[in-house]
This record gives sequence, C-alpha cells and structure tokens, in this order.
Amino acid sequence: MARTKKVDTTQAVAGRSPWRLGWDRFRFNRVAMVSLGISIFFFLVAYLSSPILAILNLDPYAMDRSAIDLDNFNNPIGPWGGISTVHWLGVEPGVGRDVFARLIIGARTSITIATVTSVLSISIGMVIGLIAGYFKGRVDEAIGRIIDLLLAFPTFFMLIAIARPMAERLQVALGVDDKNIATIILLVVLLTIFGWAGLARLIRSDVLSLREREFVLAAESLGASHGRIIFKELLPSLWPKAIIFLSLSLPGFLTTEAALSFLGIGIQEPMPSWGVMLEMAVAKAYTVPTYFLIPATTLIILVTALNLVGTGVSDAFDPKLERNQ
Amino acid sequence: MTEPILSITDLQMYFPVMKTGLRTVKTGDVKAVDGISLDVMQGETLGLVGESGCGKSTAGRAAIRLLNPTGGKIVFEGQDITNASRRELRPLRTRMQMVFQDPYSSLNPRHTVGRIIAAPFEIQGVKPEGGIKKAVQELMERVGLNPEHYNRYPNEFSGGQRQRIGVARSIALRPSFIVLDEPVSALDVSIQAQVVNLLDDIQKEFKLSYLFVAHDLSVVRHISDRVAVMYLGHIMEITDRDTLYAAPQHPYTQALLSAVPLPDPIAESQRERILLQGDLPSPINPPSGCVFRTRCVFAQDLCAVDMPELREVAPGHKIACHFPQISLQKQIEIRRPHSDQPMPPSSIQVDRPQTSGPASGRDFVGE
Repeated sequence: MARTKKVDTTQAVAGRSPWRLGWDRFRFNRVAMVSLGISIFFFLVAYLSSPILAILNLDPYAMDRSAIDLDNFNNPIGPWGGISTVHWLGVEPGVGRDVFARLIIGARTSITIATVTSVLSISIGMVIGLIAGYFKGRVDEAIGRIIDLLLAFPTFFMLIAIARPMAERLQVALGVDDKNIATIILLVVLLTIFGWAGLARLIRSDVLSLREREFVLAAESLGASHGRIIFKELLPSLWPKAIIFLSLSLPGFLTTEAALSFLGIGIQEPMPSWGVMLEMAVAKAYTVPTYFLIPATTLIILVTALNLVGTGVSDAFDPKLERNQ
Repeated sequence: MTEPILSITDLQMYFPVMKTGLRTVKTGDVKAVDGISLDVMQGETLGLVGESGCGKSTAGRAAIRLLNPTGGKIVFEGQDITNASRRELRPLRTRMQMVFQDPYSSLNPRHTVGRIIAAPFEIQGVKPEGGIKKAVQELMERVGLNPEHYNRYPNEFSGGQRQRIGVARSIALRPSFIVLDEPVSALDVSIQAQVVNLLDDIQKEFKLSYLFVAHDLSVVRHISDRVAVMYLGHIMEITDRDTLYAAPQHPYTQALLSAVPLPDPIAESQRERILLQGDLPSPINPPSGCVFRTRCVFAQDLCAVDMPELREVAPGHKIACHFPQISLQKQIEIRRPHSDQPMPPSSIQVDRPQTSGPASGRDFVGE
C-alpha cells in the first residue's frame, strides 16, 4: 500500500493548470488545430519574407519587363497572370513586379498593423475594463459613457475623413521621408483608440462577477492592495478572454487595414499591403483574374483560419459550452 | 480569558437599495445587521447562528472590517477599528483572519495551492524562517494535506481538502482571531467532522479565538463555548452553549432548536415541534418593535410597539424578549385554555388571539 502510494505521488505532483486543461481540449479540436497551423504558417512567411526573398532572389519593387507583354496592354505573358518558375504567383499587369514577393511583404505590413493594433487595444481594454469592473460606482459610470461614445462613433467614416490629412501632418511632424510610415503609425493609433472599447466592456462585466467571488474577499482579508487584487487575483482569469478577443480582432483589423488601403486612405503605392494589392487588382479583375484572386483568397484564408482559432480557443476555455463536433 | 479580543457594540450594516433609472435614487436600506453587540473572549469560540438571510455572515465580515459598517463600534485587541482605513487595517490583517464558506469560490482557480497559501506571506511581506516554500509545506502538513501537492491547482482537490487549504491560508500569519464563515456547511457530513476537528486542534495549538458563523446547530454545539442567536439583523439570545441548548428562553431559539431532528425515531415522533409560519420578513422593511413578533407564538401588543433590549436574565445569559419563555412545556399548558379553536387530534393550535395581539396565522403544531 505504502509503496504504490509513493509511486502515485511522484508521478502526479505537478498539477495541471487551467491553461494546460484548456490546451488539452484545444488539441483535440481538429479544425482549430489546422487553423492554428495555417495562421502560424502565414505569420512565419510574413516575418521571414525578407530572407525568403533574398534566397529566391526576388524584389517586390523590381519591375520585370520581360514578364509583361508590351503589345497587349502590358498584361503578363502567359496564362494565369504569368505564373512561371521565376514568378510563382505571376507578375503585376502594367509594371511586372513579382506578385509573390509583394504578397508576402504586403502580408508583413498588413499583419504587423493588425497585430500591433490588436495587442495595444487588448492591453488598454483589459486595464480599463478591470478598473471599471473592480472599482464600480462612479469610475464605472464614467468609463461606461466613454465606451458608449466610442462604440456609437462612426469610426470608419471618421477614418476616411481624417486619415489622409492627418497622415500628412504626422509625416511632417515626424520628419520621415516615407509617408507610409506616418500612415501606419496613424492607422495603429486611430484603430486602437476606437478598438479597445468592446473588449473593455466584456472584461468589465466579467470582473463584476469575478470580484464577488470569495477569493477576492480572501485577498482583501489578507490586506492585499487594489493593484495586487486586480493584477494577481483577477487578471489571470481573464487571459482566455483576451486570447479569444485577439484571435477575433486580428482578422477584424486585417480586413479594416485592407479596406482602408483599398479605399486609398491607408497604405499607398509603392509599398505593398494586401489592401493596396486588391485596389490595384480590381481594375484588372476581368482581364487578369489571377492577380485579383491571389490576394483576395489569401486574405480570406487567413481571416477564416484566425476566426476558427478563436472559436476553438473559446470552446477550449469554456467547457460548459459543449458543441457537437 | 476575561479580556475580549473582539468587542462589537451596536454594529449596524446597511446596504442601500438603489432604484436605477434616468437618475439613480436611493429608496431604502437592507438592514442586514441592525445594532448587534457581542464580545469574543480570548481563546473562546463564539457561535453565531441564525437562518439564511439573518445577517450572520454580514456580521462576521463586518467584524474584521471586510465591510465598512454603517454604525456602531468595533474594537479589536483594544484598538478601535470601526473607521480604520485600508492602510491602517493592513498590519492588523495578520492578527485577524477569515475562513470562507464556499471552498470552490474562496480559492483562486488560476493559482497553485502553494501560491494560495504563500499569498499571506507575500502580501504582508513576511519572510518566514527557512523560506516561504518550506513554511507553506509545513502549513499543508499541519492541516493534513500532502506537502508534495504544492504545485497542484484547486480544481484537483475535493471540497474538504480545499477547505483545509483555506484553513492553512488563514493560519499562515499566526493570527489571534479567525472568523469562520460557515466553514463546513458546503461539505459532506462525513467531511464536516474532520474539518471541525481540525479547527478544534488548531485553536488549541495556536490559542485562537473563533467567531463561528453557522446555521447548523449540531456543529455549533460541538465547537462553541458560547452561542449567539441572530434573527433579521438582531441578536435574540446569547449565552453559554450548555444553557442555550438545555434551557433556551427566547421563543425564536426554542423554535430553532425544535427544528433539529432527534436521532431516536420514537422520541422524534413524540416530541413537540414549533413550526414557524411564514417567511423571514424583508430586512428592507423590518417589523416594528420586536422583529420576531410576526412569527412569534407568544407575541403581545407590547411587542409591536417596543423593541426589546438585549438584557441579562441570568449571569452571562442575555435575551431580547419581553416575554421570555422559561419552559416550553409549561407554556403550552398555559396557552391551551385560551384557545377556543377545536383541536385536531394530531396538532395543537395555540395562540389565536381573538381580541388582542398582532396578526394571526401562527400555528403551534406538535404531535
């Protein structure tokens, strides 16, 4: 008896954390795992785009005159938008830049904007939501009204109205040569300002119920400070929600960036981004459909994959919400 | 033994009732605790009993200033802590602790057991000899947990084990006083005894004083030296354990005790039971005079007008009642002739005052 007991304890001393339990559930969700793989693949390709292009000896800005037919409206030579062993995804009509190079460099731009904006708005949303839910009363009331205002605000129209002139001013203020740098910073800032409110509201309502749990009272009875209760007792329970929100807001910001660039108020030529590529491609959608379909499909695949990861994460961390799989 | 470690005088704890609309207006108060006074002596266990919603847990929480009392005075170890700020209370938190009712909600599910029991040391900046980890493992051993389970999470423990974790956390800083807020009511009966015995042992070892909040009369009888009975935010009766269980004088205490079933089925079927009619009145709008009068079998006109003070009827025995009932049996005999209702064979109906007394509808049923 004593012998078996000893074996048992040494084998299972380290506990399974709620993270571990969530991951174990996530692992058995095949759709979510595949989506996670796709998302990671996209991120890797985007952030390794420079070395990849160096190895392949491609340049997103280089114009390959030999790949376009100067007699046929400068359309790419060959079927499928000029797909060949040199240009894997064809070349751009008109100028002959490599589509693959532009796609993965553009992915880096688009993904960076989406990731930075998501992380910033999640950080702000979590802190503000925690403060509103924890302190309740007047603080909550004031924050609640600000959130109402931000959520009711027609963000997109405001971005259309002010993004261009503000980007120009910011460029002057920062003294940078490339206007796109100013645009990226501006987009991140503006999208963050309007992006944190939704999560803050979610977190607030979670905190309102969480703070009534007795472990908060227990921390208080030990003399814990507000900061300790907020960041050490309450915050760990909110990470799953933040991760779900991240995987849902990433595709959101990805499409917003693409839409803004598409409308000509985001990233501008010649810097590639998925929105810029779509904007360029729309005019040629009928003559060179491949050129349009490639960035569009890529965007759809990544957005769908990220959304499915989000669903998988929320399933994994909320076992009560049992789905038939 | 003579100095009270905690002295509460006329403690009031009101929660505002807000009506939300365009403007949030206060429409009243939930008088959860409405003027209670009690002393907890060095080394004793004071049981605080009452039915659900009578304010006993609120009183326990207010006693160690987890709530800001509306009125009254709380003196802990000679120091007035009624209006002490968070900062002033901080050092005192090492002296007074609490064990919570729900072992599933009182432990943070995202922290390991080691981290939970180490929290008191971290928060108070105490560096125990031999390091925090060693101290935590000693505590785990002391409360009957395997110290090797240091890195496990609360979800891997049973209710009883979780409550042991809660006890370990509360004794980590060697307090002198612990509020036990229904520490065993969420546990299986077989586990209850183990935890109660653990609390008993720890009390002897660390010379602790307990305020034991509970609704289970048999558990309170087991652990308490003195018992206070609460009803709707007021203390009805307070005395030493043996007197309370053997010769209660307040009608409410008598009703409460008669609700405890007897283990002997024959005795059980033959005994008199007082069944209280109706529900606990709303603490937002408590009855005038004595709060218990609406359900009291013995209520008279006076009870609706004048609120009885907690007065001493014998040394160390205080009750808040105008008409203390010396003996249950005797009272029934006195009351019987007054009733002109035909008596059904299986039940005796008492006290249907036709001419005087407050509202009727209180039955006295027995076999």
